[in-house]
Amino acid sequence: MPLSDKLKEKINKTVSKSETKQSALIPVFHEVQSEHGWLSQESMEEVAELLGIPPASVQNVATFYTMFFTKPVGKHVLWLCRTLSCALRGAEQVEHYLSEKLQIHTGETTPDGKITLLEAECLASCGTAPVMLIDDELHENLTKKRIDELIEKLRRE
Amino acid sequence: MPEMRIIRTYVDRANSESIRSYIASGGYTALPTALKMDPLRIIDEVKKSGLRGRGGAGFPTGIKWSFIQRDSKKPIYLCCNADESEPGSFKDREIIERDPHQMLEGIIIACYAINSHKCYIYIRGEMPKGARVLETSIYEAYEKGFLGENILGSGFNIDVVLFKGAGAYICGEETGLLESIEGKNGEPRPKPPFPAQIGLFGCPTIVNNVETLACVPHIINRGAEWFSSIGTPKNTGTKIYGLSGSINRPGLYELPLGIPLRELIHEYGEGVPKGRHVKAISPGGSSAPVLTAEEIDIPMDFDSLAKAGSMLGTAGVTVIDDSTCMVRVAENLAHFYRDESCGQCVQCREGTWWLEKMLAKIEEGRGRMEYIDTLLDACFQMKGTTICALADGCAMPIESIVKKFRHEFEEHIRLGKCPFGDRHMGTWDESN
Amino acid sequence: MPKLTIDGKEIEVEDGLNLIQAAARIGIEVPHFCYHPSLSVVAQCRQCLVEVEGVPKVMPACNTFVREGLIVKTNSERAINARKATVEFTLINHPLDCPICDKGGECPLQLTTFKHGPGYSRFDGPEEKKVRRKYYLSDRIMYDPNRCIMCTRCVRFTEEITKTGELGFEGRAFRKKIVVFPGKTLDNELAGNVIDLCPVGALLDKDTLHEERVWYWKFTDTVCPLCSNGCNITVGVDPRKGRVARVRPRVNLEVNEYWICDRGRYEFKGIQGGKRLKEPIVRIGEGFETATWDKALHNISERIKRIKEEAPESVAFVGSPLLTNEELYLLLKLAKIVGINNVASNAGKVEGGKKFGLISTDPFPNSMGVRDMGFASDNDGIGEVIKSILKGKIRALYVVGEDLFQFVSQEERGRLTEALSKLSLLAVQDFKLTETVKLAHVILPGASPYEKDGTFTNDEGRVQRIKKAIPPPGDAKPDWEILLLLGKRFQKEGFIYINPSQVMLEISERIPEYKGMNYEKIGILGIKKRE
Repeated sequence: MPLSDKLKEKINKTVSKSETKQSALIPVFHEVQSEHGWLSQESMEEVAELLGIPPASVQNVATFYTMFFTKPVGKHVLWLCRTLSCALRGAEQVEHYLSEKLQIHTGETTPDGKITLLEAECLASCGTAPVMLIDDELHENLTKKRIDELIEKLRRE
Repeated sequence: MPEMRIIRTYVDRANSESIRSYIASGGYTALPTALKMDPLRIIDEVKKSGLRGRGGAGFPTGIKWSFIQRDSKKPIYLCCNADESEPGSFKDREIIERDPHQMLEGIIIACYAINSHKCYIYIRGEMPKGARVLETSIYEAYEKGFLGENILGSGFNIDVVLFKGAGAYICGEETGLLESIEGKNGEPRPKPPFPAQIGLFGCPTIVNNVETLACVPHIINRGAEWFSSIGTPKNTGTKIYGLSGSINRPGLYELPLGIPLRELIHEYGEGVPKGRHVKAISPGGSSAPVLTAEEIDIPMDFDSLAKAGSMLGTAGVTVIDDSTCMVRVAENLAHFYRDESCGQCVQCREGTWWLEKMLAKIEEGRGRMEYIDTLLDACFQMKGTTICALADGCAMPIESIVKKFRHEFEEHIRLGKCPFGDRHMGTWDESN
Repeated sequence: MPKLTIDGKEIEVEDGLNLIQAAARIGIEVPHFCYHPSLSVVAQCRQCLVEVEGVPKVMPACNTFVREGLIVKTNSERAINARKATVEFTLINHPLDCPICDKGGECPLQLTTFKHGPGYSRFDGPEEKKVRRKYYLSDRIMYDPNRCIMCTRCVRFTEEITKTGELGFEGRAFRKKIVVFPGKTLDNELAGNVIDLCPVGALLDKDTLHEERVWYWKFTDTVCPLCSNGCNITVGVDPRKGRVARVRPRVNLEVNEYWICDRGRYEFKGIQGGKRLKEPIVRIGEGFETATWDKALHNISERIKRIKEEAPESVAFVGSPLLTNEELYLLLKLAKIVGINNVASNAGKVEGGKKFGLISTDPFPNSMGVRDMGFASDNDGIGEVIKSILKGKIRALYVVGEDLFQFVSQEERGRLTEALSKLSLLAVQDFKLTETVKLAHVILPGASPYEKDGTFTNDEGRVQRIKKAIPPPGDAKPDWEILLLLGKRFQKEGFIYINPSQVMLEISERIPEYKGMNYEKIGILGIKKRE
């Protein structure tokens, strides 16, 4: 999908506010991803052109950061924390439960394209473990009931 | 026993994140005081307070600030490290989400002190709520004239920019953070040069942690002497301790530095779940070497923990009880560092991968006795041999686990399986 | 100039050197992969760890700079063990497939492992090593991510030297690898340098993949003959095969630093594989016949002498900026002795900018030499000769290393063919089959610049030696030798030289800008001629 004129305008504004063109890259990626859901090869090429940096450096940054997607993901992304504090409070069981419920493995997207299940490294909410981030919202003290409600809500949408 | 709340005083109040709430509770009163002070006196005051960086290293903040050449011809930058990602740490999240203006006021004072007119707040991508709150807070502060040009009629200009990360633990390392703001991979830079000389965009830069900056307005308001009277002589002030893992009352507790670990776990955290016992404690974020239950009487401050061969780090305390397999714990940590290594240095890129491999094999019952010494030697060689401390952060806890719980490793290898037998790690209280 | 101590030896060096450089001054080798003197310091491979007194950690020598009073130990137990450990870590995911790796035998990783490694690995899961597919970064360069040790030299090269930025990383941590953007390729004119820069067998030349073994090669230090910059090169020849295997840059900070262009790297193939002249040939009627050197040269000298007698101005000699200074000098000397005024050579193009600082717009290696040795400094001379040929004023023509069709337009080619066909003598000396050669009465097989000795003067006035890396094919001879043989037929005592070095001694006496020059002084890096 090519960048819309509106998005390009937004990008140009971000670039003009940045101290160097390169330093606009991460903010611009956030803008593109929030519009497209992921960073396609085509959009990376366009970003490279708008910022005047080689496409290889653009791809470089896109693949370094785990929250940028260079392959399409579901409409909603579930980031389940797997790190120690959550693991001690059952994150592995949560992952198992989610995986069964969604009928996908971690790293996969449901066939209807709605939900992608991913593993997150420590989400900095260890006191309320286990936790997961669904898109832009953190959900703490996960229980089966809570997970059922959350998934139900996403499915209903 | 109540906490000693300074930074956390208002976090439970409704709308505590708003500027109205902050001002109503006496916020933004340190700023006018500071703006009337000679910047060097502010640095002096912070030095005298004994404030040490709350991000993990515990370096004295005032001394760090004094490294800046204040008459630099290049712009000077302050970066607020809000990339809280150390496993076991969740203290900065609360400040950001519940009382961000403390931190902002601290930022403005710090900028004035080091003659910086621009601050980047680097917040990790996994904290969208924090980012939303900070966007509002920054807007509010501009509205009220605390940010922008000629703040409070002082003639001092300051801009604050919120920068959102996108998922990389390594961006919490200060030069990794700078690289990320510059639009590159968060790959730490070889040092020297240090950021105070050549930092963001090649300019002098100070990087401070959220909690550190949140301390600053209180020091200005109540004085260095007051601050240094809290805690121990070389570990002054309060610290926000995080309790997580196998503990009855997980959460944050603000207490004077030097509080005994036993008190923290058993009185504030109300101990481990019934029928279980403390087995190991990660006292300061996952990079800190673990302590055993026998070491629980240690005072929780920078120096005491260092003396015991561990570290206070971020003071995120993770409690592990006797139902948990320590090989699994080590494997979980190795997995984290393996995935979060930026991949520059070989000891880190390959070392974390190798450790994880060996630990997984031991856990699966495919380990060999000689792995134990190999693990220890690999950890030894990963420490202090890389650009940044990520490899150390992986090696230190694992080395300590292997040393202190060697018998568990031996048992795995002898039995050819995990003696804990459990398919899953930890306990999920799934019914709440 | 700070004084410091390395392994107990005190040295004084200039400021700004790092410990790898400083140690090298006293013959101490600190192993390294990511450090390269012309690239930024990244301190990533961690192979150069040394101990510095007063510093608790071992330090990377590449990012530790000399300081007064510094005490450095590269040979302490701690430093040695740290470097051993680095080797072990580096090899964990390396496939250890040296026997089938083109880099084998000249691989810094292999050598470092041998000299500084522990000699064993405690990693016992070879089947668990991460295995990733090899792929091509361009038509010519193959990348093997399994062998890659992430030194990032290649990426820095495209960022800092060519500034073309084709290469980047994909992923992080152990997943990291080098990639080009999908649909793009690593195709800048200096791209081949990444193969030499790679300290392991991760970037390889597709051209000679699995064809060459470096230990068979014989190396010759010479100069690239493909443009006026005169990049210093090393030519690797497998003597068993008798052909050039690879051309590589040779460091000369004054000329080409560490690099050569891809033309310089690969064009020898065209010369080697193209149609070569291998024996003297004489035209008999409509046909050609191979001849002995004696017969061919006799044929030329006798006909020149005769025509010269009849019409002195109808004999012309043509040289070329592909000839060495010595050859150009000999050609002019011959013309003088025979008494010929019509002598000309292409003098190359006027200097333009250089791409990447080393690719010149003048495609000839010795345009400067043409002018210095006494030919016209512009191309009017050669233009006049062509005009005279077209007008039928020339009857005998001796062409050395030049294709006259280069100087006429497409429309004039027919006229030139006609005019050349009418000559009483067209003697052409060349190593390749050109249009001019096809019309010759006598063909003398010369040598390519990879097959002879001599000097070229580059566009900055640096006189540099070229050396014979391989013998010319068949009966072909170096051009200087042919000129001597021909010269002796006119004046025996004027052409008694054993080798081009002796010709240079004469040049140094006759041409002021070359005064005092000899091969020893020119050395391996060349010297500037006098202003």
